[in-house]
Amino acid sequence: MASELEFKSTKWYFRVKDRKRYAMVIDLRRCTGCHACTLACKTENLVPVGVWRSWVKEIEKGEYPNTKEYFLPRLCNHCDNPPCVAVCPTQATYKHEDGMILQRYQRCIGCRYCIMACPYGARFIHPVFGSKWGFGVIDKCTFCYHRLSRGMTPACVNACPTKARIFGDLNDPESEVSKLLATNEAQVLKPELGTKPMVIYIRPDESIMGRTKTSDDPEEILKHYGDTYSTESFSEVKEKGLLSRESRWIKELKERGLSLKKWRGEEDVGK
Amino acid sequence: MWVNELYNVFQVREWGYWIVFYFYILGISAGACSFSVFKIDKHKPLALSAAVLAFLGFVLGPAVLIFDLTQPLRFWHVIALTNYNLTSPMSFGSNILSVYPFVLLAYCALLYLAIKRGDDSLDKHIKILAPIVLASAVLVHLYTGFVFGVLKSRGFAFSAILPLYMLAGAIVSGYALMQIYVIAAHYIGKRRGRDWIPWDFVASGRRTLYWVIWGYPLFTFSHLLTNLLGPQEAYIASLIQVKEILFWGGEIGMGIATPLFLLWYSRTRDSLFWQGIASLGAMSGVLIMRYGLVFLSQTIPLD
Repeated sequence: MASELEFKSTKWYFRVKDRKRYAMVIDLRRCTGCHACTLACKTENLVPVGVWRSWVKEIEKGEYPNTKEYFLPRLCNHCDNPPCVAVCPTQATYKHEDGMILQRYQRCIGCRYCIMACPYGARFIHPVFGSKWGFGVIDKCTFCYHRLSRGMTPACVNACPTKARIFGDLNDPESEVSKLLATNEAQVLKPELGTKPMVIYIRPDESIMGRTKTSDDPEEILKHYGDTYSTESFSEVKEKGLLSRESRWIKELKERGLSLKKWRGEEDVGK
Repeated sequence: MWVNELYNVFQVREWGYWIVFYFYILGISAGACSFSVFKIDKHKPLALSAAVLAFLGFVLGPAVLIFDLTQPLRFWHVIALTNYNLTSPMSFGSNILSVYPFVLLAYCALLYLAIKRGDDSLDKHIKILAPIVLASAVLVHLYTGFVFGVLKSRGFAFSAILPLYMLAGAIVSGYALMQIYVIAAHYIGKRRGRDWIPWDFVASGRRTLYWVIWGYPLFTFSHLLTNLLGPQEAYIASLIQVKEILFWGGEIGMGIATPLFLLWYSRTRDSLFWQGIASLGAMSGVLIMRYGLVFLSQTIPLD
């Protein structure tokens, strides 16, 4: 009930005259965790190995034998009050008039301030985009803007075999997303931050939304995150060869007998 | 009730050592600049030295930042007014950063001319420029605090205290660096038979540094206490901070307690060596604070 109230209280901003307000509704009752959306997104948008525009988080709740597994498809939330747009020093990240948060790659300087500001971890450094004098620019989900402009739905929505992902215009009361939200209990991620996300989940379990709470005991939580902290230290990351995304990516290319130049197609252009 | 993450994408620390050094160097520059402004009437050559050191810090700091960008050759996009983002502290700070060196250079030139002429004819101009230099130095460093302070996604850093905490650290590190400079100049001058920096300046510098360091733990513990009572991420990050030897041994022990003791204790406070050790300790403490802020704010995974 509380989540329904939360959603209703933020409903006013969906009604903007003569504008589309694209949103994605994810019906968690239907998600089977097949990761088809992840793969569709990767292939559609040429997302390199090691980074994701969309992924499915898997969570196990309870103690054996009383456990239950949950799936939480994740992507950029295309917030109505986006913190990434607010902090970008060059306006490389901007809000489209239809509500999508898009990226001007040619203007991005790669300061990663938007990655720091995004509460959903939806942004990453794309190691291939950007000028050859630097390394990569920031990338993220665009709701497949290139497909939307041709009248198609995002690749992840198209690929979902159980129709768990539904995409549409919230300003249109006849759209499937509007109807679903009018009749179902819905919730967004981290509503307390006031970002007003446009990715809305139907029937989520309270414990899997937002920051995963590992335990009720502070000492256990500390142990959990303390371990994470120590294993992520600079020296260990270096030992694993994960010093930076670029090295991982270039290493992978080399293993396949490719160079960054060849992958970009610059050698072909030269011919 | 246990909730385990079976699968999730991993996140790497996006801001690392270069950002730590950027904040640190820019802080030293701002601190040295404020030292210069407050020493104009007492010792112009010392004020000039502090201003030159502040300028060197300004050159080095942004160079480190540009090096850290993934597209370093596009750095000029930040200072292009057509790209200005009113809500971005980084946009605001970058524009202040582009004004700061010119103001500082003009100030250095005026001080140099005043020393060369050896009269008070330029004092009026210097006194007009000094508050502008001071304000731009303070703003240049305050912005780095706001860069972190506005990040509501990072509970540990999201704090209104942070800009002042950063500024306090900047003043401590800047004054400590200048105290090392004063000690070195006094020592070398004495060995060469010249009175470059009189002992009075060493003693007054020591007293100023002592009181400046006293103000610093106020912010350290305010930040810690508010985070310990804050939301889950801030609370857990603070618990990690409290259990870190770097915090107690480095930021508090080496950066605050040891310098305060050495600058207060009658047997060490008048020794150039121990004053130098105290100043180095204070500078190291501030560096560790910057390190803790950058790394701890990225410690807890976003979800």
